[in-house]
Amino acid sequence: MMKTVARAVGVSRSENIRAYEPPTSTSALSISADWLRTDIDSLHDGMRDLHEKTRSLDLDERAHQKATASDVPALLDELAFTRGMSWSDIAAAAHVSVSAIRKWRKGGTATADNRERLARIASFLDLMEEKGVADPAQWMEMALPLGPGYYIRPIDLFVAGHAESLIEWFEQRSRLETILDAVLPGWRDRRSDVEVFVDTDGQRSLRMRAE
Amino acid sequence: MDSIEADDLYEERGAVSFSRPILQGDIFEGVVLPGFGDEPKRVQIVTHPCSMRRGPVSNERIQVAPVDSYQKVGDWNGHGRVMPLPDLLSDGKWHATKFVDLTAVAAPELTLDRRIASLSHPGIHVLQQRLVWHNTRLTLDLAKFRQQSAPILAEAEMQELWIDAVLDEGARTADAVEAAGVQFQAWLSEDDNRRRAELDAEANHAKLRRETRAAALERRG
Repeated sequence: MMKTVARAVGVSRSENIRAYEPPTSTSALSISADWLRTDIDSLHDGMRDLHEKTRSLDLDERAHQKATASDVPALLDELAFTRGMSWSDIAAAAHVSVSAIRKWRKGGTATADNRERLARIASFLDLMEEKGVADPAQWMEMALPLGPGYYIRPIDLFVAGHAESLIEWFEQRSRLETILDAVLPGWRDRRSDVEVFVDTDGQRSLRMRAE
Repeated sequence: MDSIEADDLYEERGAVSFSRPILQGDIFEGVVLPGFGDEPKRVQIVTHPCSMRRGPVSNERIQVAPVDSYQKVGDWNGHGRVMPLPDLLSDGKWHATKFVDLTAVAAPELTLDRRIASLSHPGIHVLQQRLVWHNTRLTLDLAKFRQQSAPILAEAEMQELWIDAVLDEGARTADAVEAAGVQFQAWLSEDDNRRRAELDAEANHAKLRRETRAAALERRG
């Protein structure tokens, strides 16, 4: 076909760099590789989805067991005293107000749903510890390594409902930026020109960041 | 600027725990303000926690602003001269802190038994955001206030953790709480201020909270 077109428009073979015979010996292999790669890509996506579902189910089951075995005061004790989480982070992760947590600390009643949410936080910390995080509560508070101007912590991703993505990142199965692009669209726009620094009095202050 | 729901704004309304250190955003009843007549007022502390004391010593005077009844606020952006306080008294009515009447009172005026509300950490960040805007017209993200305030708010939370562990609920009188607070601050300064230095990084906070709890329980005996 190429030869025909070249002749039809009056272009000599030496003048047309695409005027060569189509490969025949590798075409079958090429088609085969093409199909195989498509299959593997599809398998990879399917495997990742399945893995995310199993992680979610694993967390749900752990949370259910924990919620069955522990009451709200015990769960709060575990999160705040044994793990060392702050009350405000516990409240955010459980999607309740800080004042609600305060009432439960004083003996107020919580719904089964809230108990399950507290248990889910505790289960997530258990799971991360099993995966090698030495101090999961500490890890949740540390800013993610995203460079100057970005301030996102693992707890922020947990609060936004992306516990499985945190595991994905910790297992180094995906780049952090790739995960954030998928679960927090627009995160790159949150880069701040203001930075926190330790001032001459030893206290943290705010200033414009030098590029 | 950000708005915040009442349930997320306040940590406590009505009876505020004596264990909680006096902090930015706390609201008090019955405070006589210099230059505002003899009638006691309702006020909110607006001073940043870092500016309330010099080292361990509290300032003689603390910046506050009067709190008055206010209209229900839909868009908080349109009310930059105040800090809206929805449902402050749990009666559905709105109040607001008037930044234009900011003044200072003697620290002993702000007693624990006069405190009627405390703000959550997110509530304090919203107050800080509005104060900065009111004084400079600069709007900063809440995340920046959270990052900037993290060590001092963590310290306050640890002090409360300490007092709750050291003192039984019935024993938390103003004097006992103050003494336990001094004890906590001394513990924080041990080992050449090691723990105070560690407070600077959020990465240490979980460990410090656990240490606080353990050390307080030891003192309880």
